[in-house]
Amino acid sequence: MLLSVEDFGIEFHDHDKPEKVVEGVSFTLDKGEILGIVGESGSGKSMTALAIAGLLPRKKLIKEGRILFEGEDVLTMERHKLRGLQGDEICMIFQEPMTALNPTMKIGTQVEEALRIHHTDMNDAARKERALKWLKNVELEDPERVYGSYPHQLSGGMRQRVMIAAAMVGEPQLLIADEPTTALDVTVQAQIIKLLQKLNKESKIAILFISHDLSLIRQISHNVLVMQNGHLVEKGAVDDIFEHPVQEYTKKLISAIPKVEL
Amino acid sequence: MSENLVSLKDVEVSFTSGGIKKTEKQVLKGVSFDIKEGEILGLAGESGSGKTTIAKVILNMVDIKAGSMERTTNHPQMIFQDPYGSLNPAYSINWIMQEPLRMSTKLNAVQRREKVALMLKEVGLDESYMDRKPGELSGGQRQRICIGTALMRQPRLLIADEPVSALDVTVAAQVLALLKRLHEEKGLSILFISHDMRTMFNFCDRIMILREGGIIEEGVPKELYKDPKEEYTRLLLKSAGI
Amino acid sequence: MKKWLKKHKNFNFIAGAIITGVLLFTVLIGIFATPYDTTQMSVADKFAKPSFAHWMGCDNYGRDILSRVMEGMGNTFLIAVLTVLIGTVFGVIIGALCGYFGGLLDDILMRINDVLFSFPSILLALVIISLLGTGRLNVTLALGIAFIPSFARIVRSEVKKQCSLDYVKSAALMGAGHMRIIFVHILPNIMPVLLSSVMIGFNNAVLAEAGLSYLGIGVQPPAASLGRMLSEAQSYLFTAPWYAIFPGLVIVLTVLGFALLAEGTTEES
Repeated sequence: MLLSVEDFGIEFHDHDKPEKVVEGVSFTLDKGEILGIVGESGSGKSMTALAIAGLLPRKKLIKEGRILFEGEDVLTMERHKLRGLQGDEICMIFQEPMTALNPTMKIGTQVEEALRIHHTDMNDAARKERALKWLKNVELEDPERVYGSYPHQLSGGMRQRVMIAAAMVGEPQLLIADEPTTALDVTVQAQIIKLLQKLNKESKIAILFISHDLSLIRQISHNVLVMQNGHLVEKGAVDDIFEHPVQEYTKKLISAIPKVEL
Repeated sequence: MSENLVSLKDVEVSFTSGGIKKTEKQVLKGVSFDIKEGEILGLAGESGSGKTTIAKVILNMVDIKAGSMERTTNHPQMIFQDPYGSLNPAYSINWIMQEPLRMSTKLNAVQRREKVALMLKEVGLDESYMDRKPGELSGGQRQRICIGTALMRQPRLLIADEPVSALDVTVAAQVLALLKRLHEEKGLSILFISHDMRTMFNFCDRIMILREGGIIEEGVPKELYKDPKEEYTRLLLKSAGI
Repeated sequence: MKKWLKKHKNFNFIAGAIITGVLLFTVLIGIFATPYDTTQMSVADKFAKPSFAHWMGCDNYGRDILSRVMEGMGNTFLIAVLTVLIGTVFGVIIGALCGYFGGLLDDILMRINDVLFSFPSILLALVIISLLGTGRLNVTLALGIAFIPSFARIVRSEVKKQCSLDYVKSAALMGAGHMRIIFVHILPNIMPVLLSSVMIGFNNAVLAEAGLSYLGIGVQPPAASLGRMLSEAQSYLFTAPWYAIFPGLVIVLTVLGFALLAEGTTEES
């Protein structure tokens, strides 16, 4: 078991009254498993993802429960230890490929960044080789050219592939993807989903895939978590959830998908 | 025989950008179609396909390089994708919804307010929303207000540009149901622009597939989806899991 | 209004409001009555130290400094307010038109704007005053013109930002004409930024006026002016330091008070 989230909750204390945004969430993730977290806005899915990635601020909010990554609690870990994990064992990709990359740095430099931080034993040549290997793995045509380009010279789909390469370059155990395809064209979305599935099969990397799009979740996940208003409503294998939903909310979500009967 | 509300024939639109060295980009390359009265016409396309430009052509907001656009409806209205930028944050809902009436009718304040109250009811919102500001409303509520505002001038054609793409799935379903009801009750024609093939299947009477400034295929949803002739159409359908 | 006050109740705002309030109050009193006639000279009171009779002492002509400071404050406030008014009104008009319409109008007006902007405001004011002559009205005009470019730039940038939002397109579809869209629909949304700029502008105007008067090209004697008093006080810095201290202190307090107010109103919760 790679990840174990136990009774996790977040309470915000930066306004007049405390606000519980996540409460009582528990689930596990195995090595090589793709877990889809689906929910509407306000469900707390992104907050949970940020917590697992160790990206939540330590002040202004109170966290309860535990998030065990390979047996150690991410929430209470010492900072330097957490930083050692981030970028190396746990990586995250986000929704907006347009703003996720630094416009003033070349692609190659950005993809190598995680290596520069975590693998100080690698020299320039080794780093470049690894970066190019991953640019190729994410199915970018002409990796050498992309390596030397700037973000603005690439399309949205290409940038998202670069993001994935930058996340994978440290060969992490867990990839957290928060709405990675929402800002992309529909045809590009399908390609990125296929790419993630390929990487999962080849590198056995566990993926936490967060989305509001049920059909995407259905396409990619092994198991599914349904969240609403900070609570975990239902969890199970993907086919079980979609074919035999138990909870009212899950049924409501599924019935909201427009049916196409030919 | 229903008339054509809008008729586009071989419309070409290009944009020039750049200062000293001007580059011309052709956004629409000879687009022709009609929007019939009382129909919901779907326009499926991805970003850069020119779908928003077609909307601008119909609204006379952009110059046509070649071809023609004729319409028999005076003031088609439009609703947009981003509910958070579509309503003026500085004014109350009441003020916003009265504005179309202020501009086009001679009604006084009391009469206008009455019409706003009626329209709010039509779009499924309580009168109390009148004095609220957009910042207090959710995405779905805002989109309903946008629809209500657009209908104040009683247009015969409503252009909906990705109206539910930014909304939660359950909320989107409600907004679409609202649009369908308004279509049926008032005979409102809708040009539904989207990339969501699933939503369009049940919603539209006809669907046109737009790619890089040209309409490559069109048809009645059932036939189009069952037997797409173009590779790109197949790709769009496949990406939507159909 | 209540909501606005509640939102902005913080230390900066309160401190700024108190300081500015006290200064404004003093200016108001000064309009009707000052302790002594501001031009009344008295050989006996020459360089009188601050005392109960003369709270701020007297200057080299035996004139009561407090009274002169009050009058000077009045002049400074008046000029600063009018300067900012001119800058804002014309800056908004130019900036909004450029931001909304863009194109050739934008290019031409902004180039002119840039030329004006590149002059340090005091230098520009100098040029204009040399053409029009000195005096309160001309100083106001000169500084006002010098202040237009920065307001125009800010307004243009904010209007452009707003134009990218769909509510502007929506307004056009409602049937609103260009002017209505700019001034009724868009303008209220740039108010926060504009307000902040106005407050900063006021402070710059106060300092600019003091500077011009110090140089001798602002408010002319016998009218009192804080800047001018500073200039005159220079020679007597060691013999009658209160002559420089009080006008200087008032300038500092004015700028501080407004800066705190500005900070207080723009602070996010």
